[in-house]
Amino acid sequence: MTAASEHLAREQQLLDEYAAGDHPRKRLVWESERALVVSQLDAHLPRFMDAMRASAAEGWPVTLRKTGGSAVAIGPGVVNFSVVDSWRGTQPTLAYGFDLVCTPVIRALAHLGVTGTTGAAPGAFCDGKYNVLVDGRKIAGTAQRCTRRGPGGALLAQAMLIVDADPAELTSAVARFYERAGSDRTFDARAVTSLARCLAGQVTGSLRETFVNALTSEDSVWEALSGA
Amino acid sequence: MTEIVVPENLWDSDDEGVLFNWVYPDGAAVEQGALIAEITVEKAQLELTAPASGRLRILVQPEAIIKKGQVIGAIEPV
Repeated sequence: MTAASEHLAREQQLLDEYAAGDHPRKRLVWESERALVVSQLDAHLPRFMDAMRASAAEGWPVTLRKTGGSAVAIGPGVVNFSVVDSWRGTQPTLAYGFDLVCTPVIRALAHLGVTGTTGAAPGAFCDGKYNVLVDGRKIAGTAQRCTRRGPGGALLAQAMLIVDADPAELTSAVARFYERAGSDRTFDARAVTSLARCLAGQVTGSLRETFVNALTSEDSVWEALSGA
Repeated sequence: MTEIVVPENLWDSDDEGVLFNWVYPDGAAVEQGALIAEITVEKAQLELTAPASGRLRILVQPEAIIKKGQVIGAIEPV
C-alpha cells in the first residue's frame, strides 16, 4: 500500500497543473498506509516536532497537507476521495468545493441504504460544517484548497470516509497527537462512526470495494455538478 | 504604497479566517500576482496574491484572526 504522502503529493501536483490551464474535472480514490495527516496550521503548535516523532514511533507517521482543517488519522479501512477542478473568472464558493465531494459520498451511501447529511459533529476530530454525518455522527471529513493563477485557478476538494477502520482508534491517535503538541483540543470518539457500523454486517464481501463501486458508478453526479 | 486587503470575495460566508502563513518575510521583494499569504477558513485553505510588485510589508502576524476587507500588509515601491 502506498504512503499517504505520495497520494497527497500527487493531488498537489494535479492542483498546480489544473491552475495553469483548463482540464476536465478529475476524481481520485485512494487508500494508504496509516498516517496522521495534519494541516499547516497544526505545524504551528508549540511542541509539534515532539508530537510528530512520538506519533511516528507509535505507527502513525505525520504528513502535512495543504488543505484546511486539522489533523485526521487515515489508513487501511479509510477511503480517501478527492476532486480536482479548474475555474476561470469568479472563484467558486466554499460550498461549491465541499459539494464536489460531499454530494457523491452521500449518493454512494444512499446506494448502500445509508442516509448521509452534511453538518458538524462536535467532538469529532477535524470537525466542520461540511462533514458527512450518519445519525449525527461523522462518517466522512472534508477539506479543500483553492488556488488562483491570473484569470482563474483550481480547487482541490478532499474527503476521507471511514469504511471499516475503528473510529475510537482513529480518534485516539489524533487526540494523543494534539496532547503531545501542546494543544488543549478534546475529542469524543462517539461523535464518529464507520460504514461498517452503519451497515452492521449487511454487506458480504469487501465493504471497501462495495463503497468505492457505489462512489465511482455515480456518473450522473458529475453531470449535475458541472454547471454549478 | 499598495495595501494588501483580504478580498471580500475570497470566501462566501461571514466566517472569520486565520492568516497562518506569509510566504515571504517582511521586506522581501515580490512580484504582482505571486502567492504571498495563505488563509484558512472553514477547513478551506485559500491563497492571497500580491496586488503589486514591490517590497512586502507585513502588518498582521501569522495565526491572527482576520476578516474580509481587512488590511493585513502593504507593498512598497522598490
